[in-house]
Amino acid sequence: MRKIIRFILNDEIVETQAHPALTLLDFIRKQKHLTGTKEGCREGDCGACSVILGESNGSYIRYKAVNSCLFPIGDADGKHVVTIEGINIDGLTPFQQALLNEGGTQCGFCTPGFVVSFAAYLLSADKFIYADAIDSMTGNLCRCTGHTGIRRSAEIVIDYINRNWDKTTFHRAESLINLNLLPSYFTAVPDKLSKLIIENEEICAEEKKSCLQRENDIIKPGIALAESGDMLVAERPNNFFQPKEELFWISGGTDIFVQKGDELIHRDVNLLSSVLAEPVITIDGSACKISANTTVADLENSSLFNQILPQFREIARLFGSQQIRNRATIGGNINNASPIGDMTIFFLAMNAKIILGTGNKWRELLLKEYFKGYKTLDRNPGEIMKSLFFRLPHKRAKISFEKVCRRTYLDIASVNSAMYLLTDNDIISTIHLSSGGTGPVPMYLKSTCEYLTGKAVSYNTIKEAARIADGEISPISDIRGSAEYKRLLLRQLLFAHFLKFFPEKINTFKDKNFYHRDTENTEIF
Amino acid sequence: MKNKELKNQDSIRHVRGESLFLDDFSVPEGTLYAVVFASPESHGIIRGLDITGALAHKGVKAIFTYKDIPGVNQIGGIIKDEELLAVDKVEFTGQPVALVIAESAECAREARNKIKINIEKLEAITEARDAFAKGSFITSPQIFACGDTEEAFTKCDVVIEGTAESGGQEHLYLETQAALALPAEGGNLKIISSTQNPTAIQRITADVLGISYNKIESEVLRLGGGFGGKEDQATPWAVLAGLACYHLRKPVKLVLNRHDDMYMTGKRHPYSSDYKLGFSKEGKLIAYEVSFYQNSGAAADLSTAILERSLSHCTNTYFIPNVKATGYCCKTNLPPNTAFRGFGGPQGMFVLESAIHKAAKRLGLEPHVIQSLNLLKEGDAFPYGQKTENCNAGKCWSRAVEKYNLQHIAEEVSSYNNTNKLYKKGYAVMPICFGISFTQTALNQAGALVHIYTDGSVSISTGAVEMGQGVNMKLRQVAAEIFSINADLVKSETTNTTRVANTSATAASTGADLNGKAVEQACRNLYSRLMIFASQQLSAEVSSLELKDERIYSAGKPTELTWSELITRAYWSRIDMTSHEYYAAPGVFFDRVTGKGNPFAYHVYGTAIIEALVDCLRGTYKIESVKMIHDFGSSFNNVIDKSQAEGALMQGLGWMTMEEIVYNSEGRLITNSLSAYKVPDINFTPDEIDIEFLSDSVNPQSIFNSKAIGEPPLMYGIGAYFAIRNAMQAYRPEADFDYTAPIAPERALLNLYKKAEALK
Repeated sequence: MRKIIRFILNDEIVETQAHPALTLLDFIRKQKHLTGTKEGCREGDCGACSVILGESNGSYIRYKAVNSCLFPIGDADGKHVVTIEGINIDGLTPFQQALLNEGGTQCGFCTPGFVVSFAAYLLSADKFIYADAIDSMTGNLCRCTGHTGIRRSAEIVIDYINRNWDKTTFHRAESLINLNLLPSYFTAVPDKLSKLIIENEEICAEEKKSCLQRENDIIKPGIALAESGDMLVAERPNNFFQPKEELFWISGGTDIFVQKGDELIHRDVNLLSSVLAEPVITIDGSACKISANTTVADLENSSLFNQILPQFREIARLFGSQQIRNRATIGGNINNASPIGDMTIFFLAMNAKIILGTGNKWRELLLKEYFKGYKTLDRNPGEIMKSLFFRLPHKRAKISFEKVCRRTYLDIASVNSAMYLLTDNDIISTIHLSSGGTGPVPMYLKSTCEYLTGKAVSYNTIKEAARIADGEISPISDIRGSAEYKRLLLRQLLFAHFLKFFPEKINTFKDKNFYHRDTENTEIF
Repeated sequence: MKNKELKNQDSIRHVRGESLFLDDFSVPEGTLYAVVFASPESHGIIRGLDITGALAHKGVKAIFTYKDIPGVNQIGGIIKDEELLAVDKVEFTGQPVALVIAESAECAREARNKIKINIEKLEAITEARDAFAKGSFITSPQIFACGDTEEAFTKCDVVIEGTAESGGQEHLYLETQAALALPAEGGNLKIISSTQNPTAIQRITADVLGISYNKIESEVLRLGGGFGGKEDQATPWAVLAGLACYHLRKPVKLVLNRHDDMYMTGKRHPYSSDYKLGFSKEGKLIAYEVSFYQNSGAAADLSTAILERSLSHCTNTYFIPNVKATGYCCKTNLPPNTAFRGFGGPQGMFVLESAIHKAAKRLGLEPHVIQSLNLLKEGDAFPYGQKTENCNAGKCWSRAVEKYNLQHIAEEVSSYNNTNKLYKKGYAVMPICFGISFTQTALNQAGALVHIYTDGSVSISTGAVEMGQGVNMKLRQVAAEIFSINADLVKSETTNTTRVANTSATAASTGADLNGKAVEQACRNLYSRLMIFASQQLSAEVSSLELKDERIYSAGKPTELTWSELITRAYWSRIDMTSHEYYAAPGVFFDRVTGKGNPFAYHVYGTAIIEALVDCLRGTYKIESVKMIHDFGSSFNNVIDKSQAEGALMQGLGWMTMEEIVYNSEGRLITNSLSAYKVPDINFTPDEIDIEFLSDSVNPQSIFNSKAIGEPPLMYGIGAYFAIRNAMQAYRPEADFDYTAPIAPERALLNLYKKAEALK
């Protein structure tokens, strides 16, 4: 990896030899003394540290909000990083003015984060819709205002934009500048960034000559990706770069920076983004294939993926904030092996397979067979996950994702569950059910699926299925809920899946015992 | 007040990210960083502390323990029962034991991992009732009583008994606790910190160091949120930074990271309560007995004062002639619980609201029938003897019922519930009454120092701390109003103990009231001086002169004396253009022995109607709307006051719904991060929040007839609990759910599906 990290910070090119795992937050605040970006929690839950990341896509720049507290500065290389200071214009933007008028700021600590998230939304949205604007601020917490003034402000500005949008202007940034929503330097950024990227490549070539790394040590772009909760501890595939005792691999960083934030800058790390190509989502015959470094947002924004799974966009909003979805990868979520990983639960119900291996030895494995125990995977030393694929859903397939947690958005599930269902004349022909938070691993409810296959959908069928599912799971009491609660919740979510599609067939009130549980016995139903 | 719609000009810097918080200040070169090493156990005897490994860590400059305290090792406010650094025993997980000073915070944290402590564990108490059973108390019980409950119960048609539980609440100020101590000459220190109480930091630092108060300058610019969590609990961190700075004579910065902040600091007190309520068959409340078991944590902190407010607010906004309220500060092995917006008031009110809802079920009435029947009227006495004055309880209630059409809401809810099976709607009315003043009468004092500079710009210093409540803007408005100048000419300075001394904490919603009055008086002094001077200049009677729109008017006609001309001339004529004034709220007194007095300058009233939608399949819910008539008095800044109401409401909703603090049986905080402790996000905000300012509310007790706004609206959140419960009731009409808050989705679902026999 190149030692010098070069990027554009607001309107200025910056160079640093910082450790690549230094968080962008610390760099911005401590080295550049830009203090508008705040540290609130260092775990991606408050959004006070939000910044905008602009990535060149050849002709234009794609912008997105990220949590700078979970963002390795190495990943800023060749990018445009925008902080609150880079959003300010002379005077106030209409959103800033609205916050002022509507009481959308009180103590002011969280406010820059909201302004940044909202600006990122304006830079990236297809259309300006109030609900989407609110979703873009799901990852920002304000403890003072109750968010009411912020919501009013968003409504006012979305309305203002829709009334004044100049449809003739091709460039997004230019239109926003015309509406006083962005400073004018943004127009010069694309050229500046293209130049910077070329310079970076030149420096890289220079450095390579003297660098320790050898050509054949570099993983070929798009071929391989390894993550285990965004990290892989020193399994040294292909003698990847400098072999060291412990080598941290960082992809999205949304988990490892939470767990080991202080430690990373003392370790050798490799940023997967620096050696991998763009995420790839393809249709290969009758299957959809997704490279492991694909983020949730990549899936949300992929028109191809939206054709395949039009439900996904809505579902994904339950996975995490916009900032987290912009960074969290499918490989990370699966290899983290968390029993409640939302993406894992979703793709279990798609009966997905993954491809993992090393060098030229690759194998396919059903995702549901990958999880062997708590945080234990069927993965040999050195093996890495490259991609995930699943059969294109049948056009009549009914797909459902359910998640219950303390707070609907940006929270970790107490129990989550997904279903893929195909029926012929109300007889279940194919069903895949998954559940999270109900055992040491993300679960595929095998016996429940077997029982349901060939059955007609009815209240009694689902009730029996729920009883079987209860026998398959082994939840424990923890911070996400008691075991008793999780058992009850899974039953409820199984009903919820079917109620969505067969409300008339499942009248839960026919059974007056629906809400009576026998708490004396372990048998709930 | 001329311009009630004035925006908070201080917010301009906020929205641009230009407002500075403690961690944003440029620090002098050579600044050192402090990290606190705290007890990993909740109760035990320290058998050994080994700091050698940590001291040897590269970059570490010093490690301080209690042995390095030159003065007294004591930070207790009301009761001297809290050590700054543990000596030989620890009483809660997170109790400070040592302070690591290093070149960077990261380095100090690494070194902290090398400190070894050997603690002989003792049994830890985590629940108030356990502490009560074991006789573990902070102080003796407090009682508020009026009438004769025993006698009265015999005359009631119905008497019910029950228990109610309310949970703790993490402040989650977005800016964590933070302090910066700077050495000054002669062994003096300047401490800048994120505190609601700079004077406490001045006094306690001096006591800990064994030096006089005038050697400590304590300053605050602003807080990134406080909510009570920085009233007493900002102190240890500032004092620790001061201790290190005193020894090392180097600037020392101490900023708690979120994790440390969450497990080392106290929260809102959880309460467990028993009640007995007697009433007539029409629902008229006759007698009320209640016992509050407050989980105080390991040291007093503000617990006794908080308990006192629970007692004084135990009847909320209702008149009950016979009351006996008993409160116990139960000492447990949790971090000392502390002030949190509402200060025990919400906990007290929750119990009576629970009792009323239970009574309504017993009588087969809607709860609002009982509520409205018992609202306070003019001249009614509270259990502490004070009588209502300008009572707005009934006005707020009837306006809310009329404007929002309660009848219609009830019908809509009922018709929705008749046609929907798995989704149910519920509603509740929540009237409030909240007393304004520090219950410790002496604290109801404030000072202000106002300068007019020769260019006509004005500088205001008070004891008020700006923490998002807009007090700086309000003080500017006060000066601008008196002088009739643009508020842009007025600046609110930092809060600094060398400019205004012996300040009270900015708390109890009184910041703008007390400090505003002091500023008003100081400005009036200056105004009189200037008018006398102007009368000489213009050879006119003082009584014929007035300042209007930055100009002197004589007998209603503009003169040549503009504001700036007046000030320039006054300076050259040697007129003193500085005034210090002092305000002591009149008429407040309270006798702690008898539990009687006039503890509050006035009361704030309001009524909210809350509607909730419960998904009875999943046990989740949404608060759909909150509509309130709130008594703002005569607000002089509508934008600030409205957003205060919105923010307080939302914290109340969070307290009652998703915010749940969990300690394990050993007293270790489990909800110790933002991924585990959830507060309302932008999506949880009700789709409809309507706030009407009660019209014609007069309040001569406060600045410009306004009323304090910080705390009261939080208590509307209690209505959300009952709205959710009301919806759940529609799903299981026969059930009598327990009265335990918060009603997080787990509690909701388990209650919805509880076996019939398990429900009382």
